[in-house]
Amino acid sequence: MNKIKYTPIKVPLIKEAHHLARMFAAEQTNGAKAEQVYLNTLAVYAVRSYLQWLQIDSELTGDSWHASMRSLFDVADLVIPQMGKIECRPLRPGEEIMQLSPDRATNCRGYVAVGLDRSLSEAQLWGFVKTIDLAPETSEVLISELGSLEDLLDYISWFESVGELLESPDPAAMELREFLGTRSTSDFAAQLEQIINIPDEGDQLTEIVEYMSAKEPVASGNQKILSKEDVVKDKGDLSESIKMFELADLLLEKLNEIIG
Amino acid sequence: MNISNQLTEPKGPMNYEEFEAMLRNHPHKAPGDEDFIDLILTVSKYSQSNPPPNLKEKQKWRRAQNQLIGKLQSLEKLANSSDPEFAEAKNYILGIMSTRLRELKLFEGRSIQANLAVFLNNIGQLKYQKIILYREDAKKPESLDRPVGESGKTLADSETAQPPETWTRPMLPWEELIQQETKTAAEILQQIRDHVEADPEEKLRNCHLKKCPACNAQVVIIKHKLGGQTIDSLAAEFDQRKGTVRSFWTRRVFPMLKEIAAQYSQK
Repeated sequence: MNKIKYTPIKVPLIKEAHHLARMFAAEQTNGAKAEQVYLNTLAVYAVRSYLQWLQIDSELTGDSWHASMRSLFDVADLVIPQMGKIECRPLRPGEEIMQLSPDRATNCRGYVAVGLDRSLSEAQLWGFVKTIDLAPETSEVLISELGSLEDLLDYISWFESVGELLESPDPAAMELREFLGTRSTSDFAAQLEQIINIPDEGDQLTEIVEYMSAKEPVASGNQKILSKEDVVKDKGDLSESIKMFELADLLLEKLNEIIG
Repeated sequence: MNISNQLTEPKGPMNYEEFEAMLRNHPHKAPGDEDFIDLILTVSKYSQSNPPPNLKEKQKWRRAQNQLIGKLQSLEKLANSSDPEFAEAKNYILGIMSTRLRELKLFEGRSIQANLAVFLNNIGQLKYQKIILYREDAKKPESLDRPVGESGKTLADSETAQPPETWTRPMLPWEELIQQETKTAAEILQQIRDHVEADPEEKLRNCHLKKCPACNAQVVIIKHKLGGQTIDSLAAEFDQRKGTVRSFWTRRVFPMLKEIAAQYSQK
């Protein structure tokens, strides 16, 4: 057995969780699918209970809570406001590998591994991994390679804090939202979490400007770091580019304030 | 419980400074108690109405909550029972723990962790008794004379009394959502299959791999999602690279299918 780094948090699976799981499973057309739906529902319920212990809001409005979606796809998603979704992947007793569903939502921010005991009376939350840290085609993760649940809590706190900033009536935030257009602020917050870890502040600025000026969402890790001059040259409109750099600078300043 | 052995008798939640002093000055500490004190103090410093001032503090606060739960669980000091109803009480204890920590009372001769366990177990016991009472109550036949809620009033007392058979408990938010989903999976899957096969706007047929029109969204959905054929086997059938077909599924076909499925969820 691979060495598991963190002691799991145990969550009791109360009658209501089984009641919902039974209802959802009963809709399915075959036994294997019914079992998948049953376990997925318990996993989502367990993570939601854990987050409730920590007064973190979550919503049962994801695909796993919609009949057509759960019938067609292998989904165990939980919606976290301001963040997006997390997938709560169930593990049967003795399993050490978390299987990731190919049916992942575009705003799936990460995966929580949820171990289930034989009696299905208790769930064990083994850990968390961010989607952004996985290669796009990853289909499974060893539980010994997972980060801790504290990584999940830190990540949620990041989205909450940055979300509050980006959605605030602050003039800089309003201007930023204009640049983002139809792109979601939570996608931007996910990018900012990566950008803030870049050691050089100049590179942080160019990355923010690149993201803001991109017409389509930019996949993380696929970007070449450009210099300020490169970006200005590419943009054509010098005053617009300078404005974007000023805005990015202001954003970095505010981010450092909220980080504390 | 011997009240005379209680070192401090706070009337309600203490202010933070008093609470810290009470914990730090407790004379009966066991190994590991200092860690417990640090965690209890970090958790009880903030609340929903008094949130942490910045991200670092918020992260520290939540990490402490998680560690405190983990420590309590690994010490196995919380009461246990094989009764499934007890799981609900356990769930309740952990849910209210952080908000009620400042009501913790310390007793002589008991370590901090033992005091904390007793405090939480008492809360859990009360909750468990309520659940049991509710369970026993629920077994009784419905009657107009049966008290409703904690007021002691009966259905017969109420001016708006309804016949007992029409009374139902309030619906939980997700149950309302479920009630909207009355179709069975088989019906839904058939409707989705019909839609995909008909492809009324030819969107699915027109979405294909650049070099392989035969490998289009309609065929991939029917063979893979509705027919159970794996992506790798589809790649072999169309003589394409596995990664190409997988990427086609994830980036193009899956969002289209989700859109179709969503239509049938709403109807």
